[in-house]
Amino acid sequence: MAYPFKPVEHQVYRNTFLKDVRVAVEFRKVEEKDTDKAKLQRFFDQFHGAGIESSDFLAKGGINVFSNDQNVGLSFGMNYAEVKLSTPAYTSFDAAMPFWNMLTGYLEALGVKTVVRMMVRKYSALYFKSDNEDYDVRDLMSEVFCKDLMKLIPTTPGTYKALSGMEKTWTARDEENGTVFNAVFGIKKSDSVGKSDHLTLVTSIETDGDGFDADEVIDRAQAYNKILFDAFHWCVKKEIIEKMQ
Amino acid sequence: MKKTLYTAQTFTMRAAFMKKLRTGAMITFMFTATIASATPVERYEVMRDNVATETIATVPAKSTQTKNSIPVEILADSYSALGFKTMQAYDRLVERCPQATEMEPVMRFVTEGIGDVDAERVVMDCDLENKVFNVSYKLHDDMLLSVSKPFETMDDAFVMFNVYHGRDLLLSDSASIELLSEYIHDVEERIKELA
Repeated sequence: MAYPFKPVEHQVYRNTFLKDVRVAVEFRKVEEKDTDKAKLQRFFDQFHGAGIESSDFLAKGGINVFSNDQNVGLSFGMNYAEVKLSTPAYTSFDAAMPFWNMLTGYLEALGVKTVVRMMVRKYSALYFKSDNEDYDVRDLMSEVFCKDLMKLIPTTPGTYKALSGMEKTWTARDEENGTVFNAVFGIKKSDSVGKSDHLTLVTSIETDGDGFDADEVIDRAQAYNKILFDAFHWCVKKEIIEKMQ
Repeated sequence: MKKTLYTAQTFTMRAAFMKKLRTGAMITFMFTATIASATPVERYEVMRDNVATETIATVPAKSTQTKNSIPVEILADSYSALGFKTMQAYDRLVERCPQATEMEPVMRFVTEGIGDVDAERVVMDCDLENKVFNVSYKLHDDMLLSVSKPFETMDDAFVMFNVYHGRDLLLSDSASIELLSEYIHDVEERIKELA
């Protein structure tokens, strides 16, 4: 069954509460003897300043690289690769394409032909403050999240004051396209009243079927991102979306 | 050929809006990101997960200073550049190690106590077995300030700190968080004056 999200025309919002976006791929482990060190070195040379030697990388079996401002994080291993962009670095999925292309560049350098699993994940956190603690958390959450998600929240979860935090997961499968969608949403309460508390929404979509050709990674990532964009508009109330414009 | 990729560095709290709940409570929601112009990635760094762990190992395991009662202040809600870096560093720590949330009061105590520092990078780590929290600030000119605080010393004002230049340890001591903060900001002022 397809997902219930209505297609939404893509746009870049002026205000967001998106914190980071990550694309990750998993593949069957590549043995060191099967790697082309020179090819790997050419790939790592693009990370100017990091001074990555392919021999060191192979000896360790993986490496984590960050941009100097910490907004770009890359993780490369012998059976996985991940690119994570924090909001200042992420303005739109298409604008971030050079970073996503690093995944395919890595797969190519490592000689990976088939990807076993792939995931695109977006993490959002909407910070809030309140003038008192005596309110029902359900009231607060229903200001932001859609009715379908709110069905997972108990009718009387308790007042903010009594609650330590809450997280629920809404899952759907698209069997036709072999993907699983998850929306993990909730409230994260700080020990310091009313300061860094936030409502969280983590949406992710990942492959649920057999492996696929490594050449399809970017096309799939773009398609998954479109689903996540539509899903966000489904998860979050229209009034919040309007405030983002 | 060297590729130059771009990220957007501006990060401001652009907008907030208020909602009154049916029980009368007033909630202020805050957006935390805004689209900004792109700036190039200057350079990349290889993550060294052991930076903070190394610095913890070089300081005494426990503060022996006089105990003082100090209020545990609230995490700043002014999302300044450092505030955001601090939050990011904490998020990363929790992502790597979800149990680290139990160290949150110590994290708040240290980062709030130190206040705004002109840091290029903030790295957090913790030793859950001994319940020691560590935050490292990468400062100007390859200087690194590493501050440690064991959970069990939360009722006193003292923190342990190390100052490195590159990988050389210049100073290892303990001081009250207020005094350390004052010292850091004095040094920052002097550097500004000399610049």
